[in-house]
Amino acid sequence: MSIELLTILMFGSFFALLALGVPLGWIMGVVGLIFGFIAIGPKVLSLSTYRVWTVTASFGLMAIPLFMFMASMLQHAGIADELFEAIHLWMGRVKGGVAMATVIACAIMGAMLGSAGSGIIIMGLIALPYMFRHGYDKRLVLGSIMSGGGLGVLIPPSIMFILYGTLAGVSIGKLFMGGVGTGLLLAILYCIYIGIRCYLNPKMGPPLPKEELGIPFRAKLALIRHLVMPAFLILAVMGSIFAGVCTPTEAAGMGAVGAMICCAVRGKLSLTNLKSACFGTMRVIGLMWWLVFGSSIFVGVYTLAGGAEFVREVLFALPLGPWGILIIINFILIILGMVIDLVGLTILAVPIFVPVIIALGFDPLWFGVLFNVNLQIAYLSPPFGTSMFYLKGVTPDDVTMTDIYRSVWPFMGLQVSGLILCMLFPPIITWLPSVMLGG
Amino acid sequence: MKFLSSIRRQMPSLSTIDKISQWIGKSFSWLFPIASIIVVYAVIMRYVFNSPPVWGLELTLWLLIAAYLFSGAYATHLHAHIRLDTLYMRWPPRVKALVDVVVTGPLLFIFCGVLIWQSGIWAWKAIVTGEHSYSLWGAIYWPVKITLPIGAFLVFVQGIAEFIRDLRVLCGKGRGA
Repeated sequence: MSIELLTILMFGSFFALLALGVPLGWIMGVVGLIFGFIAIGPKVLSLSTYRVWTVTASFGLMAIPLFMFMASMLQHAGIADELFEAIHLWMGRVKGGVAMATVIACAIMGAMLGSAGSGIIIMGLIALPYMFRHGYDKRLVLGSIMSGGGLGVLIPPSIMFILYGTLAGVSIGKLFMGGVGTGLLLAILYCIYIGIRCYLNPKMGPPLPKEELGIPFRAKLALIRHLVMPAFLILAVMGSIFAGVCTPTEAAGMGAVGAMICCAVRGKLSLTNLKSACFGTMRVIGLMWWLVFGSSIFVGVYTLAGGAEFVREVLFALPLGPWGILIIINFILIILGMVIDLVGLTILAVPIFVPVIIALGFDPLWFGVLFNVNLQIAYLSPPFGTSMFYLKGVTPDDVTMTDIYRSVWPFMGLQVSGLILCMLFPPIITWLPSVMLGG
Repeated sequence: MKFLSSIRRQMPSLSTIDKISQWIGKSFSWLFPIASIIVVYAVIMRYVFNSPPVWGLELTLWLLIAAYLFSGAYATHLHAHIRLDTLYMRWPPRVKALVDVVVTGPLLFIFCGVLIWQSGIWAWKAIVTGEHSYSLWGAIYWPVKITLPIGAFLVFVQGIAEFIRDLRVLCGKGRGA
């Protein structure tokens, strides 16, 4: 079977089954096995099983469950409410201040939770009703929550970076540090946008009335008190990676134990909370790892049959320079990210695209962060962007899917500008990793 | 119709399968805090006492491997596996059941079947040869290796339970217990 035909058949049957609503992991695994059997022969069965074992027994990926468990524990420590409470009281006087506070709270929670979904759900439950009550513009509210939540993909400890780093052979610690600058850039862009819109039209985000803010300075300081420990924990986890004292896995394990201690100090280390954190982590690990198994079989078969060379030749045959090819790859990632789950997409795309990027003379670390900016755009984009479904799950009934669709466009524009800025000025990504000690 | 009534008589065993998947998933989820504590212990031993345990990182990995592999049946039981449900969620229950009976079930059986078969052979070899891990620790390897066929088997069994439920819906009998 020629590689062109194999590409069409594999991806064709993949997308057809995907549209039917069959779980992604089973599709990728079986499509990989069947076409591998046809194109390569029966030995594909044992090769595929060996691949599954390789990802299971990977030392790099161990950081993922540990960071997830840490996030679950921190969530149970009840930091989210206080974080939002504190930040919005400090920023409430500004026009659009609560929406900006939401973005900032999301960015900080991204550092604690490591994924986008939980940030969106939590802010959808806390910040959304609050902003609606104070007359904020509906679309501005929805957009700021979803785009803010998406920052979790970029701000360390992002699970996507652990996957990318392990697959591409790039230092996970450096990727973490590369995500900091980019995440901050996007958060600042969102805040500037909200600020300008609300300055021009104060009805979109009215400043809070004095009564709500009229609490003494001392009380405002007291609100921050509870956040000191989690903040310190995150700084310690990231700092130990930055300083090269710990590997990401060790830092994750210490973070998880630290999060349990945070819970204990606040009297929240109950059996119920522990159970809920353990069981919740198990559920997410279950859906993620079995998806990883399937997608690594799929991509393993495709690359073994010569798919990666084929994609490279097609891309190199285009009458475009390296930058043109890079832009095409970005574009493909955004389109695929709209329909394929981010984890599955990372497993699929890294072995195919990273060799191309290296052959073009680009830095795989820099591309790794761009890769995740792309995934973040895909995460937000209609009609399938995951973040919209997370948010829809927690909004009141008068928020329709159409409202949600319409709210994302300006924020997607900001994300694309952020992406372009990162491409034009690589130090936004590469400066922090270049000064870190470990690696 | 005889087929259906025999399925109905098996209903208690369907909920037994659920209970097993749940119990295994929940029990093995305690490995996450345990693994974290081992990591911290190893780091403290390295920096404070300058004698890192040779088994530290590897044991953590082995515990986590068991958690990964036994998480599959739990996630299947909870219907947590990610699907593109834009169309799927709009369909009536019987169409959903049709898709799951005709496509999802068979795919799951093929996937897990191949894993059970291939990794079973491989784990059996590890047991027979008494293989040790290639590290300083050098522990017996088979207890880790058998988690893959067992984990895949558990997903397979939970898959059968879901498959029978979907068949019932397809025949207009309701999902049952």
